[in-house]
Amino acid sequence: MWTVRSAAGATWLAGLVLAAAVGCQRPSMPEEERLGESASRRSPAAAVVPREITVEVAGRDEYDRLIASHRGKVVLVDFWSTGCIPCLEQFPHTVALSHKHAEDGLAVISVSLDDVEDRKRVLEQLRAQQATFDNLLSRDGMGVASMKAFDIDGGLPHYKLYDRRGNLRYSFSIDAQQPLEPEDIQRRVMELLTET
Amino acid sequence: MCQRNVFVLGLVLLTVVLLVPGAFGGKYNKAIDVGDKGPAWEQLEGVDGKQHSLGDLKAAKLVVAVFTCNKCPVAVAYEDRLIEFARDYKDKGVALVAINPNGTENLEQMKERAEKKDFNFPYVYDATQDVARGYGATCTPHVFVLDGKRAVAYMGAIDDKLSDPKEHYLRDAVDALLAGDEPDTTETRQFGCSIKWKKQ
Repeated sequence: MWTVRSAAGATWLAGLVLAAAVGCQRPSMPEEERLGESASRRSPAAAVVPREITVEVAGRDEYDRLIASHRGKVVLVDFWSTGCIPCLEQFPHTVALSHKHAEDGLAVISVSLDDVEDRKRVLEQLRAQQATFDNLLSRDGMGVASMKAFDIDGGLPHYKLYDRRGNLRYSFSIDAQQPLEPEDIQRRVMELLTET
Repeated sequence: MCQRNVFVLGLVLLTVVLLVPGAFGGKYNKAIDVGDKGPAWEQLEGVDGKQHSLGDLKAAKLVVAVFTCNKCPVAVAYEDRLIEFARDYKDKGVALVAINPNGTENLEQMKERAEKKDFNFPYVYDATQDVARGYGATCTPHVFVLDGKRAVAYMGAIDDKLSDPKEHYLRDAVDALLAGDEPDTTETRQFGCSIKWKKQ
């Protein structure tokens, strides 16, 4: 029985089959660089430059420009809200990743779904979390408009991962199909950092 | 060799997928689609100490199931709206049921919350999280309106914004259904805190 969704699904699958067929002709990938080894050879005194913690009100346009400005780096985006306890619990893992892989080429962006009027509270939370990376505050607050603007399906916290060419490679909340642990996010970050 | 095998596999998958109803879920729901029968919950314990099943609500014109919890500030902020909704629609044959699917919460906390806010609707505990999984619930709050045949007629967000909402999706959907019409909007993006899933 052909519904709109079945037809869409069929088109998607046909495209997948085509892509896979084309993909078989790609040359084999070079060996992965071992990030762990290179990190241990690096000087332990490599200083983290102190950076003022700020937050900018933004919509999708500003967000896209910010992602593009990090071309050449892997970008991890953490979508959160001060009104979301699971988000506040997971945020330290995002901060840890930003420190651990800064020199490997990881850029981190946080996007808060809070009211613009609550900017001060958002900034307080970012300071408490030591979020020394790019921080945005959705101008549409906590609601359907923000979810739509940033293509968020599911609950918060929500994460997106862009590769060094600026392509969106992962977009995920923590849902029933994939109860993710912080290690799973780290693994995906590593995957994109080491691919050529 | 590689190309042909992939092509054949793709065709097989395509065939399988087309034959499976609801294989793609809704726009923002991986488990079910608008029009699918809402999975029935059986014997969920409520804060009133009784067991609750969807079948108990046969007499209701519509059933509104909302996944919510005690600790997510977003869900808590919507409690007052749910209380108002129950008050406005109870006598119109609409049964509201709140379901807590959070792996880190328990019935005792739910009882405290229900008493404190004087909930005017059943508040039941989805201990195994099977009901939440069956509905494709992803966050709290996440609402599902079931029509007279208990098929999903609307699912997603209660309204369009936590503070100062302009679109009242749940009420609009319910009003349309009570008038014998289809809702204009049948699915929206739900927003709130992710449900805490227990490791299986």
